[in-house]
Amino acid sequence: MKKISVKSLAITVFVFFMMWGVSKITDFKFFNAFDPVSQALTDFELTDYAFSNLRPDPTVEQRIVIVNLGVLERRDVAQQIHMISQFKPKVIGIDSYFDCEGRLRDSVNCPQLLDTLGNLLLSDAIKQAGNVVLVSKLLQKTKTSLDDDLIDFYDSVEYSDLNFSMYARHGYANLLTDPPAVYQDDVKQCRAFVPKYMVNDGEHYAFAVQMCMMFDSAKTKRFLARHKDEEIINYRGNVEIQDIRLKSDREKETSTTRYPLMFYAVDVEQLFNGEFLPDLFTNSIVIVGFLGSKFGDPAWNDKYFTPLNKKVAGRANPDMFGVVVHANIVAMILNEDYVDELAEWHKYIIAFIVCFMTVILFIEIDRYLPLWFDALSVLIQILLLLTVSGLMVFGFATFEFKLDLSLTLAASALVGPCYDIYRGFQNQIGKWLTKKPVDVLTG
Amino acid sequence: MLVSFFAASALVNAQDYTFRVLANKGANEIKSGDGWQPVKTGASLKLGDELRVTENASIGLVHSSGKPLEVKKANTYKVADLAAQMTGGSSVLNKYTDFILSSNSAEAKKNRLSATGAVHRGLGIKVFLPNNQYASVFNNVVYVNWDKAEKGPYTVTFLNMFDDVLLKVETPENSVHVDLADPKFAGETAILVEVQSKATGTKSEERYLIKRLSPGEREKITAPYTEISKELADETALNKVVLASFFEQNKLLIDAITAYEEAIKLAPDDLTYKDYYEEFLLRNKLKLIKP
Repeated sequence: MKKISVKSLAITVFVFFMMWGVSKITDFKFFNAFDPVSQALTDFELTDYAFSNLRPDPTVEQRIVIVNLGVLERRDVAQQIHMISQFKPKVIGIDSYFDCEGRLRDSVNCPQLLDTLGNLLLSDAIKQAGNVVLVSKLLQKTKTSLDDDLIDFYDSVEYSDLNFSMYARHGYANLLTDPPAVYQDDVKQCRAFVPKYMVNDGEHYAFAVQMCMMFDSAKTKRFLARHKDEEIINYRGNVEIQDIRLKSDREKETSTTRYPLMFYAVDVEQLFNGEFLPDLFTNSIVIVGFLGSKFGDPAWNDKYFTPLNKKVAGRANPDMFGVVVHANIVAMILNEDYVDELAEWHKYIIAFIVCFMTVILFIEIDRYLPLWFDALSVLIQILLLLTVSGLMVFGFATFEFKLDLSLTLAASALVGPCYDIYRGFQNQIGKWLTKKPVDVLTG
Repeated sequence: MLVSFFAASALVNAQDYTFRVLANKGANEIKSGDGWQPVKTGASLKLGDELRVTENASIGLVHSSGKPLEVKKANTYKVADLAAQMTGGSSVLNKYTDFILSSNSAEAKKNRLSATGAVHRGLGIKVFLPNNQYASVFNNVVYVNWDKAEKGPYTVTFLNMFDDVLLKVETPENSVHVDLADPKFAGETAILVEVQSKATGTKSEERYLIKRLSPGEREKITAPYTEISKELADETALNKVVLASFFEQNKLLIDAITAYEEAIKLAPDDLTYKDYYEEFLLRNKLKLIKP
């Protein structure tokens, strides 16, 4: 038994060595040009199936109201804030920057400065409301951005202009995206966010966290006490209102997400026309942000792919506006409905144990059923891959636990070939070290 | 006793509504009691109420159980019938089966030619005025015409750059003309025009700009204009068309429109001038050929 264990350990180490080697080779991206499949599946995670298709239906979060900002000018945004604040919401979050991007403060690069009256009105509306959270942006100083070693290190914060920011609290709107986005309209996927970040010794909260802190500080503090650098967003649902004019298409299932309406939503004109009940806003979290120029606008501005997208891999339309991503984070914190995940070392231990046990099984089959080894080893690998994949999806759909067993999957896929290679080497080395019968007889 | 009172009141609160309106798009209506009323976001729907969803509209509802329901098909629904749809729910196994089956359904393979590779430029009333690049005007008289696809009467609003209304005209026709020498437009170098159907509320697909020529630009045009005006001194339809060509060559499309309109007024029975005008509009993409 001891001999089997040692052999199994040796093969398991060999499997891990091969995985390390393969990962290093793929780092060079030699094969990317000929590998469209893996490129298409780069952003894919097995748990996305659970999010979009398999988990129990979530319920509507009724404490959040999303108001469409559309393409309003600042004076109209001021009117929006004024109208909303008269109904006494607990927090008003505004998912829009009111500054001159890049600090180019001239009328060519920043024509919104010309509307001095509009700016005054907006400043006054934020001041009068008294409970406004504005978005800020984590940035790198120029010197930091040029340092290749400082990846994902932020040492600067961009705020709205002082006449607005001095009357509001702030939360950064940065979300973790894959691939990293340069422009707001870039194609990007969002699964997680950073709850808080230290910039020059000052603690900054994410936009959603800051809103939650003003709404329910006890729950928010419990959330922050998890002390996780990154939190997976437990997406509840979307606000997707379509405008399909062809009758034949309208009656089909055309939404991009499985849960197209999960928050109260008020359109630009509906707010100005008073097409809502006043108590909708009272004591709520109101998030004002872009949901298209009007409901039904299929705009891609500030829109993300999320795990709720019905199409989980390959080319697909983005499904969720940024403001709804923030609303989902708020809902997650208020419902204390988090996604837990394995620690990094857990992933290695599980992969090691599964690989070790599989190798023992292979050795035993090789020993007692050598003729059946090839067929049985392939069958075991297939069963193993299916079981691990199923466990990942089941764990997420049922327990909201992200069982990231990618390493175990890789080990399961490599254990068969590695066993054969190891056995081949072992036989050859054995031959070299063992005298041939002729040598024994004539020596 | 006290516990049952609180339990009963909690039950009453819990059943206060069957649905609430999460989001509304379009002119949907609720019948609660006798009359139909427009839907408001956050409004409650009770079991005896009815809901009317109009064409190209949709409504998102939240059931008292917290589950969402989206209604997109134009029809009149009884709230009780909608509530009946909310009972039960799919198990994870059912969802898995649905997912596998739906991925391979015939529906998923249909309509491969639905994309056209073209865009619809704007969705509102098409006004036959050029884009901002050619919005300059030399003369004072400006004709504003638009497509009659939307039902009239119409309101035509002239605004300055600060959104102050300079002039508002109501008309049952699809054309108005204004004189920029009117004191209402005094001191305004750039004027925005917006057309709205009073019947449907649809607005023009954008706000169109009318921009007076700067003194320098005006000076450049004045000399050749004076010269050609001498030769076209007679007020005939043909002369007006020639003048329109002059304006078109100088990219003064709004003045060209005015010249064509005046030509048609001078010879209302001659279809040739209408054809010339139509060709001009199409040539300069002020009007699009209807498919």
